[in-house]
Amino acid sequence: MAKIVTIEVKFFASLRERIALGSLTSNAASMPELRQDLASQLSTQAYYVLCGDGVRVAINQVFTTDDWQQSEAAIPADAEVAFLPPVTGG
Amino acid sequence: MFEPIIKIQSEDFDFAEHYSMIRALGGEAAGAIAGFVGLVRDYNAQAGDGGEVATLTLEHYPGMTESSIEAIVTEAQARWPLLATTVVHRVGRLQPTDQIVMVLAASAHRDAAFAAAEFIMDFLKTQAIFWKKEASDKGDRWIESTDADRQRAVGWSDDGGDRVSSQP
Repeated sequence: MAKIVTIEVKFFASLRERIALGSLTSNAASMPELRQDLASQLSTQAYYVLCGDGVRVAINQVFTTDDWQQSEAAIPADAEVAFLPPVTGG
Repeated sequence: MFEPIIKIQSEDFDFAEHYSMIRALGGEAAGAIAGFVGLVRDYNAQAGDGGEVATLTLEHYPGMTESSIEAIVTEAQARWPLLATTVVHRVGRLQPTDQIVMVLAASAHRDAAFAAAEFIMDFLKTQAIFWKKEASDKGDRWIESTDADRQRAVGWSDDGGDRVSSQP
């Protein structure tokens, strides 16, 4: 039986409020798969919000080194993937 | 390398308590402790909608925010001979004049302590993972990072301990 891999995708601050969603689950094992899954789970408008300027993605609390919209990064099983708007510091 | 004290908390902090702690941690080698406390400004003057700012709400990403601060402190440790550092940052809902952040740096001499405290603050403003939202009588608004803050952070040279440009 194939193992079902679930990742948790979290949205922070202004992103969470603008898409009116704090988190969702996905079976994506890579960033391309995640983009595809988000495009189907979210409205076009919400997906567009995530494509805003300066939005960064962290996988297991580490920023991806490339733009999430281009990233080919693998996503480990049970990972926590976070979408973070530009930080406004302390 | 010492273990920096990093605290993210919603409750207020007591400067004297943390000062005593870092004084003890710095030990006999410490000849200087520099401290900075940031207070919530009344954002009224710069609020985009002209409304009166009643509260400021800070959001963070538990775990990742602490790591982002640890990276800043580690960088400061690499630049200056520090003996101990403390960073306390509040999150949640704050009012104008509330304490929001505190940085303490202990070293043998004052130059390192002053510089490290300033460096850590400058990078907290631009690199640490926090988001601020202001609430006024006209509604809520997420604050965007300012060019002035970003300029301060890039003002630190990559290869030494000195600030290469200064802000007015």
